Parts: sequence; C-alpha cells; structure tokens
Amino acid sequence: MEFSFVQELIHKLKTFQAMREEVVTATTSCTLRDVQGMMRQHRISGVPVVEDEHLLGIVTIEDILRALEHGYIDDPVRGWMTKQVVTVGERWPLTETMSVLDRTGYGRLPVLSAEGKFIGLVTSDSILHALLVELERLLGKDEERAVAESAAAVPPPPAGQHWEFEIPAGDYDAAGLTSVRLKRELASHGVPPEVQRRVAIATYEAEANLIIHTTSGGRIVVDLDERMVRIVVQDDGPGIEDTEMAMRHGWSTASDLVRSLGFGAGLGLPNIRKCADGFQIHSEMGRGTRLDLRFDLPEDTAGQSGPAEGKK
Amino acid sequence: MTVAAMAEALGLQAVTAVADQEIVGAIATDLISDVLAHGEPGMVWLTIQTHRNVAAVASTQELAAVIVTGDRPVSRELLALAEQQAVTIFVSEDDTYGTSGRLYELGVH
Ligand SMILES: Nc1ncnc2c1ncn2[C@@H]1O[C@H](COP(=O)(O)OP(=O)(O)O)[C@@H](O)[C@H]1O
Ligand SMILES: [Mg+2]
Repeated sequence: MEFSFVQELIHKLKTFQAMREEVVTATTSCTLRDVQGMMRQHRISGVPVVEDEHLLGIVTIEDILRALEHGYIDDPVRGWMTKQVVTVGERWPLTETMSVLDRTGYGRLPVLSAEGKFIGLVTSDSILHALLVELERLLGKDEERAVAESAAAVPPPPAGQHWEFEIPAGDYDAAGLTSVRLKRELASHGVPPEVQRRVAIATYEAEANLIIHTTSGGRIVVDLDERMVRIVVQDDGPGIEDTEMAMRHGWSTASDLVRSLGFGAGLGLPNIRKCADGFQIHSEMGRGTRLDLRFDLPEDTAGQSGPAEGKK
Repeated sequence: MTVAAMAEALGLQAVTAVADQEIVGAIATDLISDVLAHGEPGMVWLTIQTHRNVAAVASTQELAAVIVTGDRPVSRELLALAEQQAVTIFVSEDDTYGTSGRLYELGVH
C-alpha cells in the first residue's frame, strides 16, 4: 500500500522535476587536470563536457585515474572524454529515467531538452530530493485527500506493451513491412490514428536506414505505455561520420541502385525528427548509430485500451 | 471525386480490389521518402515504382490509391502486400505527366 503510493508519486513526476540544473561542466579545451580539480572541489565523480548548451561528452573519475596512470593528465579533455553518453529526456517519466540509472549502473545521467540541449543532471540524490519535496508538499495538505488526489490523478498503468523487430541489412524489398506491422499493433492498443501515422512514417524511414546503410542490420524496439510510444533504433555500424551533416535535407550517401528504388533522397532523418515529439541521434564510427524517439499520446488516451477505429 | 469515379474517367486498369473513397489530392513522385514526407491520408500517388515498398508506403500514409504509370508491369510481391493491406492499385497506360494532367483537369488538386 505504502509502496504503491510512492510508485504513483514517481510515475507522476517528470525527469526535469528531479534534475539538478546548476551543474559543474567542462569545455573540450579544459585539461583533465582542471576536471580533476573540479571533482575535488565539488566532491563529484563525473563532469559533463558542454559547449553552446550541447553535450559533447563526459569525464568520469575512471577517466581521470586512467590519465594519471598513463601520464596524460595535462591533455585537453577533447581527446579523452567519453563521447557515447547515455542521456535521458526532460519529459521522460521519472520511472523511465530511474530504470536507465539502474540498468546502466551509472551514477549520473545528463538530461536533454526536446531540442537536444543539455539542461541538467539526474543522480540518485537529486531524485531522492525531488521525492522528499513532493511528499512534503502532499503531506502538507489534508493527508487523506492528498493520497486520494494522487491516486485519482494517475490511472493505474496498464501493462506496458513491448515489441522488438530485427531488421536485416540489404533486403530493400522488405522496407516498410515493420512499420506496417507496428501500425496495426498500435491501432489495436488504442493509439490514436494521427499518432499511429507519425510513428509509422518515422519507423519506415528508420527501417530503411537499417536496411540501406548498416553493415549487419539492426533492431527497432518499441515501448507503449499510457503516456507515450518510445522507440529505440539501434545498429552496430558503420556509424555516421557527421550526424549534423546527415540530418540535413538532401544529404545522402546512398548508392545508385538504392536511389533507383526510390530511396536515398536524404530526407529520412529530417522527416523522422519532424514526426517525433522527441528525437535524439547518437552515432560513433565503428560502433553504430542509435535513435531515441518519443511520441506523446494525447492526455485523454490514458486508460483507453480497446481497438481504435479503423481507417475511414 | 471518388476513387472509382477517377478510375472510370481516366480509363485506369485496377490490379487490386478497389476500395472506394473520397480523394483529397494527389502526389506525383518516384521517391519513397517524398511520399513519406509529403503524402497525406486520402491522396492518390502516381509513380513508376513497382516494388513491394509501394504498398507499404500507401498503407503507412493511408493513401486512397496508387496509380502506376506508363503501363508498367506490377510485381507479384507488390500485389500480395497490397491485397493484405487493402491498398488500391491501378495501372495507367499514360505516363506520369499525362496522367497527372488529366487528373488535375478532373478537379483533383
Ligand atoms: N543507421 C545508419 N548507419 C549509418 N549511416 C546512416 C544511418 N542512418 C543514416 N545514415 C547516413 O545518413 C545519411 C542520411 O540519412 P537519411 O536522411 O535517412 O537519408 P537517406 O537514407 O535517404 O540517404 C545516409 O545517406 C547515411 O549516410
Ligand atoms: Mg534514409
């Protein structure tokens, strides 16, 4: 009973409500020794590297120890920071963020705004603090009423839906099959047609990219709860040299064969970003590419679980 | 204008079952991404592409119908997926330019 009350609390809070905004950050030209100083002074174990509000990497205590051991502690951060940083979105439910903390074992996670800007850090401490503040606020009211209110505000979360699709490389003819399948699944779980369509378009383009541009294909993982559809598209390479370039309209490395089939117009990634309510792309050469997409459901979708109306 | 009325007026050959519905506009392009970016539910799509992705795009975008132009043969894989996804496909003897022009004259803008 007590436990489910706390769970509801966590579910209701968004990630930005539990993050720390005043964060010590470094720039790429700081030396690792500078960062070591920051860590000591502020008693922290990780420093995000941020320029122009963009997160470029993170330096952790392990990076510092390695630098001391191998004698490059006076090098600039640029060459040694961890560039593949796991991040969370400001509008994610706190439950999501907590499960990422738990899964990765990292002590801190950078929070990005919808526009992809770095806006703060969540740590277990900042989450605990947010929970205590929220509890205090609720208990400040008539206690019973507060509990009732909180329970009423949060419909019992229906069992979340989860799908995984493997997309092999090179099978051009199969493009769109996963998006069509996913669309049908979403329809049968009450996702409104307008959202279904945006999800399907984004998935189609993501699927096409896995087929066309990757060495060994990739995966599309979809989670649906009563608030949003979350999609992670991930592959193991080759990675994108310059993601900013890849995001431009009309920029493409597709072959003539691919173009003759009507793909490779360089419109995919920009359209995915346009369709989604949250979009993040991370890529590293030799490692692979990851898209994190979020599609918000309208408020009144909550609790609705019957099949949606078919197409008119 | 409805899909069936358009087919009649343009002398199109249906290669799938025809689901009749109102047409809201049209798009003529051979780029898949173009349809995904600029198509809208209820539109007719004119293209020379005949592979299976055509049906997947039409279904994703909830298009009213696809017109394959220039009398091109439609692949069996495309027909199978179109049937499964209830996508309506016609073939036009005329090329994309000519078919578009006549469709425009019929008042589909
Ligand atoms: N998963 C991926 N792995 C490697 N490169 C990719 C991936 N996705 C996209 N790219 C690169 O980004 C470019 C732009 O992608 P996109 O906007 O979808 O256009 P297109 O696929 O039509 O080329 C691609 O041409 C390719 O170079
Ligand atoms: Mg693409």
